[in-house]
Amino acid sequence: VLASGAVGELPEDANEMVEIALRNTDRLTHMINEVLDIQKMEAGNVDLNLEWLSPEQLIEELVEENTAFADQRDVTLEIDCRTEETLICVDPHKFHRVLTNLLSNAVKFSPEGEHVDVVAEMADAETVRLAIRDRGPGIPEDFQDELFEPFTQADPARNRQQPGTGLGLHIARELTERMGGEIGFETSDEEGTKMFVNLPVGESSHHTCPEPPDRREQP
Amino acid sequence: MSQPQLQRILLVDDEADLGRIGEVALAKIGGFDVRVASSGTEALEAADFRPDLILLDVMMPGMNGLETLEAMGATSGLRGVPVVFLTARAQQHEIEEYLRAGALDVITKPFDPTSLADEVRDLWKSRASK
Repeated sequence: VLASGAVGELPEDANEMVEIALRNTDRLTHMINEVLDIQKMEAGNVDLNLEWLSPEQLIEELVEENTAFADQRDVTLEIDCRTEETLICVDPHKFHRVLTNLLSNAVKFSPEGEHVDVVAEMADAETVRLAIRDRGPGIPEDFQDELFEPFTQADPARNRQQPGTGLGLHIARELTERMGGEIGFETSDEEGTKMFVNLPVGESSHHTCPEPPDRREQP
Repeated sequence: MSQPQLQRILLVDDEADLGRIGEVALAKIGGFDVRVASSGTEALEAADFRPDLILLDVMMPGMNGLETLEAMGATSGLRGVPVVFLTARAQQHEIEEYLRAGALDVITKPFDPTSLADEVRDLWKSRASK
């Protein structure tokens, strides 16, 4: 209310302090929510509302929602979808969260003026791969084993420029595995980083999917 | 001999929000003349400011606080200026490391903006009395 000016204009310095407080309150709220999510996952309290979805639609929506964020950092998002009519069975909200985490990381670590590829392809006949590739500096070798561990960040000093809690990738991995998928990466200083999620085309052994729609063959 | 007065403070922090809050706290509440640098390199370039005291973050990209402190020792205008580390990394062994490196003292983050100026003034007085 204060920052909106609804109760009168604040002096410039005061308004700036309120905005700083708001920004950091949001960060703190985000961090608390992530910690609570991890607690829920560890307690096994994760309900999946599974639906059959088109990878193409998923990545188009993902890119649309993140274009403004990428524009702010002068990063271009490019879609490449090669999964045709294939569908995957995921919880839309939770899977969107996984992909959003991977994409926002890719944007944050991309040099200005670069592009990030958002790709849907068949890793093999039974597996859809959704991949997000940046042209950033790559993940340091000594950090790669810890990448998905909670509260870890490659370089604390550098990551203060790229605010995060060090929980996002841990949550992404947990959610992906609960949906029957796996998450991984390929990285090098020269090529950047490709984060990917593999999901089985058929019904996974980890959960029960609803009946697939007609357009898709029975798994 | 009377103590020199604390007037100019160079605040070095890569986190823009903290730099701004510190600047307001020291200037508006403490009445100091404050300059903010967002990196070690920028801090070295602020030698013309002739600070009386430097508040220096530790975890910064590029040159960290300890490296910046060392480089300040070779920079005219900054050499010999008392440095207080302003950091969340303040376990006992870390504080000892900062003091060994030549820091005057350490203020831990998160700091209270309303008392930062008083804290800095107290450190300045205690230094002068040593």
